[in-house]
Amino acid sequence: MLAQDIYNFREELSTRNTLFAYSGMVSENLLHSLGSAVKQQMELKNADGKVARRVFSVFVEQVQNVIRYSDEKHWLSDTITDRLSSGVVAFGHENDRFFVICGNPLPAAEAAKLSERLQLISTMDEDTLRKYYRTKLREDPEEQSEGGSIGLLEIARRATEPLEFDFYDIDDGRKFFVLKAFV
Amino acid sequence: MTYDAPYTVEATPRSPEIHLDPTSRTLGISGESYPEDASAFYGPVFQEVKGFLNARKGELFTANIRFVYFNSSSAKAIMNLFQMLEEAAEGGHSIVINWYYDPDDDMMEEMGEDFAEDFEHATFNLTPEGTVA
Repeated sequence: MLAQDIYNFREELSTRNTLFAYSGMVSENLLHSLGSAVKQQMELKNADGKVARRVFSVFVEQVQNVIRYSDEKHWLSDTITDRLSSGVVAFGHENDRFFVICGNPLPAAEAAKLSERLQLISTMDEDTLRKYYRTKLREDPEEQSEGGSIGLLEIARRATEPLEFDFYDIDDGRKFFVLKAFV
Repeated sequence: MTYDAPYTVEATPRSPEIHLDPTSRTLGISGESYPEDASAFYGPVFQEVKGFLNARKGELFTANIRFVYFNSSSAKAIMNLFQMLEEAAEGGHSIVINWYYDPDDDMMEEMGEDFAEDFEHATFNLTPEGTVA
């Protein structure tokens, strides 16, 4: 039963074109390790250098967003690098495109702001995104943001298709946020 | 501080090598940049360069920048560093920034173009280079 059960779980991920998936505490150390895995998997698939650079950039920004904005956080110490944030990270390949999926819980109020931000970004073409990024780079970081307000713009710029995002109601008025980007 | 000793930060897999050479008045930054905490990483570099320029006014100061990759938090920190260099140039320093990039890397080329827009007093050169880092 155990082996069949886990095999089925593996098959389910495979059906979803997943190269790897992680659910649990996400940290900067984990980002580094998973980032290496992303690079290796792309090498294995002989990904073009330009594509590989874009995918890696999307991956880093996505995972760092989980680390920063998940509202389930634990601290091993009070330094920023010792923070563990609950979330989901998946990397896959379908129809000759790579994708990065990240998800994390967050308060409803934050979800509303994020949704607005993503809707605005989704209306922008490549050139507008570049100009907006340029403007944001020169602004002081927004409240509660570790200079990461331009992270979403970076993801949108590097993605080759419109970003997919969704929010799911969980407990106590919180939402589970998922962002999927194709390169 | 007299700023007459070289200042070096060794590269790690996720942070660039930094080298400030007081003799040649050259700052070198090269590698990948997605440190765990970008402001904590670049803060001391910023202070060192600023302190050096304050203490050692005079001849040409050159920054040679060779990035393979940097994340958005690093981009903010790099922007701050460049703004400080531009202010120093406005204040009378002679400053040249050389932005080297792999000609195949359109991301680093575009970022260089975007940074270049801010410079009026310092000179910013975009230079494609065969092999970066």
